[in-house]
Amino acid sequence: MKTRFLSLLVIFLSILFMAASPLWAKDDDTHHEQKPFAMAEFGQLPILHDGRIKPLDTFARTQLIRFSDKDHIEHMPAITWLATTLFDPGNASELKIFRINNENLRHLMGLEERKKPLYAFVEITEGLEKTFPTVEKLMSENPQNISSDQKDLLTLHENALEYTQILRSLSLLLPLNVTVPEKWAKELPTLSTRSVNFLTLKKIDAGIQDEIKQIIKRKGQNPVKYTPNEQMTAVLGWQIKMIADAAEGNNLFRVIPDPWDERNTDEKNTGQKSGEWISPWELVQSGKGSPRTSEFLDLWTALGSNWSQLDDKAWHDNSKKLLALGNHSTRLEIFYNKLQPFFTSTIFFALSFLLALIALTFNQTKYIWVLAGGVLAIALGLQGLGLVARVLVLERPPVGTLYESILFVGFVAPFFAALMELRMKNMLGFLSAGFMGIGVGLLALSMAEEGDTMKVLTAVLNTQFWLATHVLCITIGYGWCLVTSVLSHIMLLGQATGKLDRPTLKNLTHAQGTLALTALLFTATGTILGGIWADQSWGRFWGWDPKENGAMLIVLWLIWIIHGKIAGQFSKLAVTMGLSFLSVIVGTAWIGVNLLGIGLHSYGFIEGLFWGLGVFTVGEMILIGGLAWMIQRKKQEGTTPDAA
Amino acid sequence: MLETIKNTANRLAQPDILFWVLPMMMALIVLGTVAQKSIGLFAAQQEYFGSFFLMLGPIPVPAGLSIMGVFLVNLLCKFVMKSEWTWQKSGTIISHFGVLLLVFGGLMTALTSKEGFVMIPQGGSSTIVEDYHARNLAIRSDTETLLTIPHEHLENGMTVSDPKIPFTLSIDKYCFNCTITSRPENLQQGWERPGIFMMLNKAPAESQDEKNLTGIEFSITGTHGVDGKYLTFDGFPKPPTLVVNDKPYTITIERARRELPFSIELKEFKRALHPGTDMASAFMSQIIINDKEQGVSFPATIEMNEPLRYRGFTLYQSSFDLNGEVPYTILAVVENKGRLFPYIASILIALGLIIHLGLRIANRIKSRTEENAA
Repeated sequence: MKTRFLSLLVIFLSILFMAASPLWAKDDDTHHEQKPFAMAEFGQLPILHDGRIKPLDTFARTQLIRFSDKDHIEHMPAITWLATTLFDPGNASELKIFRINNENLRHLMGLEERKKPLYAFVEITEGLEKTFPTVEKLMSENPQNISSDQKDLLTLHENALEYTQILRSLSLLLPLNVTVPEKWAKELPTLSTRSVNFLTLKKIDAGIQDEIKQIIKRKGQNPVKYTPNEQMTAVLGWQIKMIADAAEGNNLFRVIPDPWDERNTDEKNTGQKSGEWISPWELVQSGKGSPRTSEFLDLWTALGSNWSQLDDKAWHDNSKKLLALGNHSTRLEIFYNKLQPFFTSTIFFALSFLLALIALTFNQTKYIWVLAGGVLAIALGLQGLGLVARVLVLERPPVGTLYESILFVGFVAPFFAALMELRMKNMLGFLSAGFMGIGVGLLALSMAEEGDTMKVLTAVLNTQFWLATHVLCITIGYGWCLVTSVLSHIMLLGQATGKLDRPTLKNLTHAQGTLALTALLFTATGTILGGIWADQSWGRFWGWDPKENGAMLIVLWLIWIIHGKIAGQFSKLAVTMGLSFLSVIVGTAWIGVNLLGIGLHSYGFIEGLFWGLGVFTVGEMILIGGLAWMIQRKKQEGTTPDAA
Repeated sequence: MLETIKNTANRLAQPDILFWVLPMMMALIVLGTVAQKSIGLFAAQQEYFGSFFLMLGPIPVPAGLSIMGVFLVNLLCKFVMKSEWTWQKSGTIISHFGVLLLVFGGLMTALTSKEGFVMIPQGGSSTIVEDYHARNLAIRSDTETLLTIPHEHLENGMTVSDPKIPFTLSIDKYCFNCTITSRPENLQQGWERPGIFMMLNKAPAESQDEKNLTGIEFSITGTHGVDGKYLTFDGFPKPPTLVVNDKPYTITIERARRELPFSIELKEFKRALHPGTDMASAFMSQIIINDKEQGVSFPATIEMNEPLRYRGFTLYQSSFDLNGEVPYTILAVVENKGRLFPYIASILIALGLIIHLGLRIANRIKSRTEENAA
């Protein structure tokens, strides 16, 4: 809480500073929008953020999503927004990037109503200042007693704090609007006031401070008594101090390898394994500099002047040089960012679903089968490519978080359904694959709004072996369960509408049995492997943790249905209903238990997911119950082949 | 007699038992999981899964142990009485045997395993394993333990006297979970340090059992000179020590302890962070095991997911404390005679299911080929 308080104090000071004195030279127009710079190399520059090295492109997208829920502002891509914020803070603070959806908060901040509730930093500073005392009080409150309006207010303040950090990241390198007394100007490497920045002023800072002390000693504190030159010196000294104070603790923009971290100095590892990286301000304030870090600072300074002088070529060259100096390839992640594989694959899944639906509706399966299969293959290829890219970037197996498990199921479930189609050749496999691809894809897209989805893992999860065995096994199990459930839905639907003939139904019934057994194999093995991991990690095989219980629930459900079928306690219809309902059981075990907010696998309560799961459960009950009722009625009328 | 046993076993092997036991098990799991939200994992585990019956309002319903018991009996009888020992059914038989082993292993673990933790400062060593849950009132003289009473037996008004201790201790206030506040001046009469300045208040139990702070306020009588009111609580660094007849008596509330047959020395505790964050990427304790009984001494490294197994004990990197002058490592210590069962069981269950699936697919292909031929 203390740290947070200090942080907020910094923002408060920063706001005052911002409002009081626009010290930086402001570019005279927004010409970068008219003449976009070559941002490819700049976007690839490595930055250490949230525990891993990532390209600036990812950093820019993540931050912009955090503030505005979108990874671009109108026609400006995130990376251009970041460059503007870094090199032209004056103009950047007028860009409308703060999304304030909460009407009460907009009112509290004194903001005008807009079609899109997006506001610029300069528009919200007054409100931030006004609400600071409230925020201060809220910080001592128990988080459970904080209302959603208050939570939004806190989030806005936190976002503004983060934003000012970015805004000031390079404030030490940017040209300043300051007047340097002649005496001191002579000692500067360049006489052009336009290119004077904090770094150059820092060289004469000690002398200036000494002179100010002398002036105060001679003439006291009242500046009226000073000569114009003395006044100028005093103002400059104050300005240097203000810039340094406002940048205190500015350590977000870690773009320079820490020269004293052994992982960076070890030649074999240079640029390969991420050691500590530091921000320019941290470097200067901690006095950690080295010849190599000077090269970094010089190039960043050069980028700053290239930006303000609209020198596209020099910008491109300097970005390249900086990229070579950082020696850390981030190309793959850039490719991943550009491709947006999971979004694109969802579109292809939707297309293959539509094709399958058209084919089934019009009984035109011959050519469309190939087409739907091709489109599905592209979707699966994209989904698989995305997963492989993540594995390579994160250097670990593909599933380590809830979001990643969704991505993985988004690949395996349609893939299994496609395999099934290759055997059955009746379009139903493609239909299922497309349907699951859309459903799981949309779920993944809704979860991705949180920002950077490539996360480093906590110590207990940081194990290649168990991530590759237990986690993959149980996730594949979820995939098989979904395929089983979707196929069972199709069987219910087919019978209820009378579209399924007897041989197809027989085929599907057999496939359903095999699928259920395969789902059982993977979920049971995965669950037990999880127990073994727990035994290896902290010495107990089973601890009744919600996620463990969830996994066991799936296994027990499958055992119940399979045994009920074998022993004849369940009719064929009941088996199909039970296996259809597997979707709800999997949803509860996979995502629902995380909502309890307890145990080792908890990801916190997500309100949207809670209601979504509730609606899904009720919807499934109505759908399955309704279809079963229709089948029973048909059976009584003698118009259905055989209730399965 | 044999016939009766056989008939009973046959009845107990019937699938209808499983048909009813499974939904009960599922319902129990759902209830027990949701209950964790309000009563915590440990209490829910005890109430729902570690007991024979639980009360749903006024109605007693079977809990984990009885449901699992019925399941085990049903499966065992089915396995012995009803298995078809044919190649076609081999997968099912192997899987069922795997499940039997799993449940049996679980039973052994529940009955025999002991869990606790050992806390060692860097540069120091320890042989003491403390329990996670069980707390005792202990009276010691120097290192000799004179008396221990499990906390479940403590209650307000209880008097403790024993020939080994030269005083009578009466419990004025017992709280399983206490909060500590300062004692108002008007209530300080008769109190000795540190109770003169602090008082214990009863608080509702925490859902996470380890967070409960158990303590007592008590009166000492029968001494000449140190009679008075005192307090002590779990983890209190300076518990009251009374000197009677030149002998010190320390009164503590502490976690139940047991001694390891070897000592663990902590050479160094290391924590690696993800760069630029406070998030740990790894924990590691470099230790030396000194086993005088066996005349062995060797270094070892315990990491997250990489425990050390020695003489039936398994030591896990569980937690740490970096708040003091030197770092402390906290190692979980587990003795579990049933720990191999899940390993064997998982292999058998997976193998059985794979065989079963393989045979099913093979049969299907065969029957299709026959259909086509016909």
